[in-house]
Amino acid sequence: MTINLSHLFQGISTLFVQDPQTSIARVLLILLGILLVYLGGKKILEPLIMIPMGFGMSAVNASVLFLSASQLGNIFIDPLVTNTDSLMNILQIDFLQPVYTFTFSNGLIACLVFMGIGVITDIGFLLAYPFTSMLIAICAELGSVLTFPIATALGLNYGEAAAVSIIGGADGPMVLYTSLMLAKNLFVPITIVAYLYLSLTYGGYPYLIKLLVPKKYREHAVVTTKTTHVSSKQKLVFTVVINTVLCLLFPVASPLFLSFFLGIAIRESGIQKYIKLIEEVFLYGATFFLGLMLGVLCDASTILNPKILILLVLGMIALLLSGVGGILGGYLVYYINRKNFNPVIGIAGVSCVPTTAKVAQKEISKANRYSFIMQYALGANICGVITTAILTGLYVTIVGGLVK
Amino acid sequence: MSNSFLIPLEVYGLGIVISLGIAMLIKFMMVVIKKFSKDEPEEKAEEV
Repeated sequence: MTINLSHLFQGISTLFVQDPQTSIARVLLILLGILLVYLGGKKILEPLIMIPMGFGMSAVNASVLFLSASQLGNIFIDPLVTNTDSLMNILQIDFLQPVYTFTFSNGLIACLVFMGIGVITDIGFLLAYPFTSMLIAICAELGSVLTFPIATALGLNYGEAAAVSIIGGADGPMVLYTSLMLAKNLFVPITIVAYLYLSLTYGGYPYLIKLLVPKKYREHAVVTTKTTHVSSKQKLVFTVVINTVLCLLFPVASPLFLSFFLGIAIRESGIQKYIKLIEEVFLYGATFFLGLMLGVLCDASTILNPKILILLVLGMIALLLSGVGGILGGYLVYYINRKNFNPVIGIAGVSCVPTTAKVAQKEISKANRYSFIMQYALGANICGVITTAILTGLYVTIVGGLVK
Repeated sequence: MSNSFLIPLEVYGLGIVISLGIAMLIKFMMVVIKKFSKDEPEEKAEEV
């Protein structure tokens, strides 16, 4: 009996059958996947996303096999299948296809993450300082707006431009949702770029703060004249009213609003069994599969997409502009409040909950270790989620209408 | 002006109006809730 090694080790032999460009891309993605796992393990990048994503990325590019004599592929997932009969077949073969079809392609996974964020979010700070928080959050949406014309100038259509612009909102589930709604052909690279950059905000924004805010402002302490307390009853009433209002205004983004505010309502109503279910099962389960799925979707064809370089540049521009906008918002509040504010808090308007709030507190503490601003930062942070959801709703409604 | 500029302008303009509207709604709701909840005296929340 003779053993055909090329059929035995198909992951390797397919490297020599494919065109050299794809083979090189596969090898690079395998290495990138391993690097992401390493950086996630070292906590340089967000481990909750990067470890499953890196594993998925290296595995899917390693395990290409001969599906038939002339067709190469993998048995992980087929994101392009749309025909019902083909889908039924694929669901029985590709082991991650059920997760993709029933949670990813319809946006459910984004909603589950959002519900989890709602459960861990205390909106008391937002209710205590609504105008201050909202003003900062609006300024921190600069990237979500200014990136759009740059993206169209670089050749993206309106749907793609809107989806990549939302990276400026710094909210992963929101980017996923917008790209699924408006740029399904690019949702994988856009979402990957978004999550890669969001992982880097913790390391990158401190430099932006140091660049834009001199030390004498960074060490400025905020004087709070009265303690603020918002009851659970007030928070509960707020969530149900605001959810209804936003759903009335933007039915197209209502799944996101419902998920987020329902999460907050469950937290405030104190139903421990639901809180535990959403926080420990839904949030972490969805985050795990989100990371794994993003990695698995990262096959060689993704990196060979000519638009990936444009997306990488635009993602960085969006987050950079939003950071600058947030700090400008911080300065604006500083002058409105007659200098009783720290402009660094503005960075927390970029809604990467709670990373940017932590960055603001960390940088302020470095300059003045007695200055505690977390309540203001978290207020701006939560408002950032709301403003990003509003902008998402507006983009999906306006651009979605144009595309149809 | 082309849609490349009009769309983000429209999105940002409406976004500002709606966001500030929500901030006003929050202020209004806090006052109303405080007025009708006698059993739970709260300290007044104040903007910095």
